Amino acid sequence: MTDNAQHLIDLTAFTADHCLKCNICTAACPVASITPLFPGPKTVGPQAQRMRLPGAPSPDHSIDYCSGCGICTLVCPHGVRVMEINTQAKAQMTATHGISLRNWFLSRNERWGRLGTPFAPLINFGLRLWLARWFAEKAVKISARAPLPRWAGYTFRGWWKKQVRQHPRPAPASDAQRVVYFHGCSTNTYEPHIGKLAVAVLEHLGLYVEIPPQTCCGLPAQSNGDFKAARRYARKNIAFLVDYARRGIPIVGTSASCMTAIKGDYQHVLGLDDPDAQLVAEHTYDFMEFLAKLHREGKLPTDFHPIERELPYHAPCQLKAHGMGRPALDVLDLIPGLRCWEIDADCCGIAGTYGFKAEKRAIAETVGKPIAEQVEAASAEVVVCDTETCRWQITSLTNATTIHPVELVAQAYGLTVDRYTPPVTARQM
Amino acid sequence: MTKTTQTGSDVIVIGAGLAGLTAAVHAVQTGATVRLIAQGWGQQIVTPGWISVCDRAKDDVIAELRGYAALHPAHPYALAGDEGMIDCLERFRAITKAIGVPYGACVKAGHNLRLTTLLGAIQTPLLAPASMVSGDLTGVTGEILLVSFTGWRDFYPALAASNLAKQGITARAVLVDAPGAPQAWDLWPVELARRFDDPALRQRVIDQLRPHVQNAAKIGFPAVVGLEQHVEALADCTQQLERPCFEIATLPPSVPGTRLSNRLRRWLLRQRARVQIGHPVVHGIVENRRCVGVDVGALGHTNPFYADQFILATGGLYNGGIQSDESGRLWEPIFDLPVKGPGGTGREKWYHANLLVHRGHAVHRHTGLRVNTRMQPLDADGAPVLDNVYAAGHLLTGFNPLTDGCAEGIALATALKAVQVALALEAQKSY
Amino acid sequence: MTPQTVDVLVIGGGATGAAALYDLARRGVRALLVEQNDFTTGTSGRYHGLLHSGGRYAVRDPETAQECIAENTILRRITPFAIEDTGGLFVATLDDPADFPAQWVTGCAAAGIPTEQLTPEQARAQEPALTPNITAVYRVPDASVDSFDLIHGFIAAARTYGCKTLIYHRVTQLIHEGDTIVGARLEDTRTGATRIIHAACILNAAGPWVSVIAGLAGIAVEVKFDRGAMIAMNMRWVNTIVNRLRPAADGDILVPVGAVCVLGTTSVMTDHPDDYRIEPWEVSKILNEAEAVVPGIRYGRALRAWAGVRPLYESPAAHHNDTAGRAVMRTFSVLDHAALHGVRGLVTVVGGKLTTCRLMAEQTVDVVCQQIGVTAPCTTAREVLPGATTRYHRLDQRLHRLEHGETPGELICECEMVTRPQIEQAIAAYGDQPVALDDLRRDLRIGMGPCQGGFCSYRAAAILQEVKGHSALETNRAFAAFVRERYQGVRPLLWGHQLRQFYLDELIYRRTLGLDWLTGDYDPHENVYAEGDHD
Repeated sequence: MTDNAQHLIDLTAFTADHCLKCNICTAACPVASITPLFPGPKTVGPQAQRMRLPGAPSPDHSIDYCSGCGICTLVCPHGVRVMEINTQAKAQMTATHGISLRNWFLSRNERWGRLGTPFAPLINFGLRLWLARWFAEKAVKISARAPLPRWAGYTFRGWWKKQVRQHPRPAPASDAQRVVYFHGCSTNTYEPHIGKLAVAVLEHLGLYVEIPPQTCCGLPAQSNGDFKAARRYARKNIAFLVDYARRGIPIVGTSASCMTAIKGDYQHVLGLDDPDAQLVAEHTYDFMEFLAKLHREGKLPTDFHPIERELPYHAPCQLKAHGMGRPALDVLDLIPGLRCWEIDADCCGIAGTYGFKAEKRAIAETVGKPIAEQVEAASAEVVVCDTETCRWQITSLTNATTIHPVELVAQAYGLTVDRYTPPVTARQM
Repeated sequence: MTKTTQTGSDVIVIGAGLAGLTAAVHAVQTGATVRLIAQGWGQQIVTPGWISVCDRAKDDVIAELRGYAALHPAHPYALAGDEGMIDCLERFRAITKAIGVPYGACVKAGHNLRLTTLLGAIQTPLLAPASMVSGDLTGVTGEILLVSFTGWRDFYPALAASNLAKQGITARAVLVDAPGAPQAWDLWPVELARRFDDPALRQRVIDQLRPHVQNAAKIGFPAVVGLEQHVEALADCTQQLERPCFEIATLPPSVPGTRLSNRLRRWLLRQRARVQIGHPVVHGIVENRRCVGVDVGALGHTNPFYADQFILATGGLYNGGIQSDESGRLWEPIFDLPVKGPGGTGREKWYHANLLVHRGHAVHRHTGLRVNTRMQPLDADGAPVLDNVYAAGHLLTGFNPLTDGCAEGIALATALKAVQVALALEAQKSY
Repeated sequence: MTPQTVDVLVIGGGATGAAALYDLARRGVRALLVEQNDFTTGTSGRYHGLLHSGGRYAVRDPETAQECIAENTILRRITPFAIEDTGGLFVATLDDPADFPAQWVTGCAAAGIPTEQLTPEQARAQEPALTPNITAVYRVPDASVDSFDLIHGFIAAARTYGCKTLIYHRVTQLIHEGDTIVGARLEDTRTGATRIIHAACILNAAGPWVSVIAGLAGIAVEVKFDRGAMIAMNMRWVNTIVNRLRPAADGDILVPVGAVCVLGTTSVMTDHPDDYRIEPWEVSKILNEAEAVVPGIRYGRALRAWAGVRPLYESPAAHHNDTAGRAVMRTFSVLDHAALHGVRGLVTVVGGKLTTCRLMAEQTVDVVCQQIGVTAPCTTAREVLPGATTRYHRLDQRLHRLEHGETPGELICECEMVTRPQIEQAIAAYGDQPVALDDLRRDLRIGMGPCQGGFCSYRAAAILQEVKGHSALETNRAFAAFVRERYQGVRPLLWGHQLRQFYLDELIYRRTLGLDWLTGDYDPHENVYAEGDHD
């Protein structure tokens, strides 16, 4: 088979060719079975795909209720990229009918994070007022019940710049000791402690951390069908990162969903199939995946302090999409005393920006119910999860504290950072 | 391939069908660390949900099997062995009971069930979800009430009733309004099942049915009576309608299969096994006839996973465990294991001219891996290809899963045997 | 009630017969069309869907090329609902003779076929799946046409003028009065009942069977049968028709029609008008040839294969030696048996192409009208068929209608988006006539998508039972007959994903439903476990 031939078959739209109409994806879809508004991933995906003309105005609208969680793609035994097909169709719908103000707003989280930082106390207070939320729901259709992040009041990048200024580091002997950290928007403005912990862990491993300029991964814009914006973000990130990839320097990130976008969606959903995108994807790792890889290679110190806890873990759908298994569980299993178990749930319901939308909030809450039930049944107070919006959603569904696995790893290594109190502590030896 | 440190699991199971899932369960039960990797869900989501062991057996199923296996030493049942056959069924009933989707058998011990299909044909599996077992037609003389929903495309009870009548079984059809809002195009079995989980919606169906019960001896529903609350939902119907209520397998996707898969997955996760569904194993990492790991095709780059033992349960031609092309080539994509085919040149012997030919098509009967009694795939000379890779389920040659009425029995028996051999080996190696 | 006496009896429910019925209707002639099966079951239904611009004949057969471009323009005007305006490309690759494009351009110019040269980059921008090895590429006004829609359109239009049709009736005898044919005896192929139709003239448009009909009048019409195989790929690999720019050969067209892409064709001489065999080499050949133009296509999923028989005719006067297959001209002949053989009341039309069906009808009906003394001229080229839309067919119409609530009710055939009310309506249209699921397929496209009836045939069979009150046995048989028919077109293509699809279909039929137990021929003593292959 020539490269050209292989390439064509790999195109997302052509994977519809493999659909047998078995409806396994429909059976697994967390949304289709709870709302009649969504006819299911097969219906709007490979089935409708046969009746769509490339580039022509979109004839369908029911696809709007797809949350983009991607469970359909995961359960398909025949290799159909159902979610990716649906997301592309959603983009066609947006191209045909335009994007709503609300979706535009949700697609540009990166901007609001940055702009809001100086006003953090005010915004954090304001957004927790019942009236403000009611108004946001009525005016822009952002659900009053949706979980909202808190602005940290400073940015991770700002902290890092200061850090580098104050503590100059000797350049490493070789690129093999370098690692690029991709923090993502949420770490930058809402949860800088995760970035600080990640840097602490990487430095503890003897790596020289680089944090090049970066922008939103583009996933919020992509899942709202705004491919123009998503591609703009994607191209910027590729340009920022490709030199490192070329030098073989791994790019690691603590937001599993951002890393999905960089590793997969840029090519399979947004259709950016240039060699640079490919190269960056090849060198990109989820943070926990990177640690697991180091462990496989015998390079991860396992002198962990014990953490005597049994904690539920939620694997976000975006993380499942990586195809890397559950590296967080594999690494956390190395910590003495710590027993993490995976909650049986496809999706927490939030699916990026889906669960923030007023008309979809009830669906998002029903989708997330199994998580709430299992967390409750286990009387767990802390839940471990790799992506930010899922953590916020789980907190809103369960009242449990949610943490990124890096918080446990740092704790077990005895690492601390300023302005952060660990919710789970290790026994100090 | 760089040599890696030992950081793998005891067992990697490849495949999430009945063979893969039960292999993972057995392995976990013996205390092994298990990682299950599959490209997608297995065939149980599209099959009727029952366990065919030897559908053609008229009386004692196991005796029939034993007799058959004795005569056909190359058949997967013979390879899996007698004890395995009985043991795997008992274990399957035990685990399904433990996870809350119990499977049952005919009241006549050791006999096959007699279950009606949507079309009104009678199928004779050995085990079935308890919800189907209550529809066993063995010895039934009274009238069967068959229930479907107005405007629902997946069950036409009048057709089933007319076919059952031809076979001497009195059946009556009734249509009631589906629970919950009517749906414009699609009302999927799983969606209906979720509605049955809701006691209020369920009650509306029960209330509509009450006047139709009359002399019915049993009441048959399509297999959509509840998803998460299935046992409660069916018990509620049975109690309120004062008749045994049962389920009939629907067109795919199968709700009973979905229930089973979901519950088994949850059980495995609670035992801290890894269940990774969504990405295919693209190839095996082999060193000196031993598989040390498998590469999973993933976003950006492949990911390796290491283990000591490997159970290959990737399915046959349907699930991609064996692939085929226009030229008639048949291959096993992960380890490139030798595949036996129907013979002949090209695809000439694959399919019979008559689609519904009773013996089925040669391609499904003959295509698969040859294994020994240790479930090890064999080369042309009959020698094992790899020391620590064991095959189970539809991947094996020598039976037609569509016509022989033994597909699930073989999946269960060979999966158990594969795990037993794999873990016994492991014990020998360590001690 | 079927009239027992009509002005003209048209034999053959293909494109020519249907167009002729419509032409007769517009000239005010009372006509009846009789068809031995359902409409569109012969050569017209076993068609690739290419509405020729004439480019394919520009070099070797200028007359046909001219007819094609003229009729292409007319059909676009009168039957746009059956046509998707895909446009066409003629693509030469490195493997094709380098001097051919120049001859071809000259030929097109002479025939009046507009061509526009594109750069390979422009062509690949329009059709990204095309090979990079393009040496020359031209745009022509090809289109794709759905022959089911076209024929149903002509029939429906003819009915609005009062013309009638009779399907599943075979002509068993022509009735003579001296040297004049005055009628025909018909046999109902499903019940065996016979009836007699008197007609002032009979128009023989029976395609590959014209010589059988002419034979009933004792007239020998020498027809050659040229069998051609086609394969429908599951996806539209291209959205423009792609022709290979080289002298006509096997496997040189790709036609996006409906949701599929048809690859064609082969050319094999055969002795039988209903030889629909597809040999393995034909499948390989077609896929390999398509691969040269669209690399990768042979790894895609082939959905269905079928063969059609082209009736080729050369008048004894213009007989070349040993011409066969593609060497025979694709023009058509109208045989006025009164002038040729002294038999009045019978006119035969033979040869030609679907693209020129209207012209064939016009010239044949001219001769018929002359015999029966009707002087009205042909007006079929003037305007769109009565009551039909003036817009081209679009691929997304079904999806659009479904999504906008225009086709309510449960979706029975998910692939082709056919709802229960549509099926009920189609069944009702047959009145008290028998209806097979295959008839509904031709009416609505049920079972024509990727799963080839796996899910919808049970549903449709049960609906048919409900509406018609059939017995269980009749229903099981109708169900089994349909799935067996679907299987025939898939059997040559069972490998890869289509093999998986048929495993699933078989699983539904055999395990979920137990259809094989109910079809009446089950042998409980057969040893299904026995080793060895069947025939």
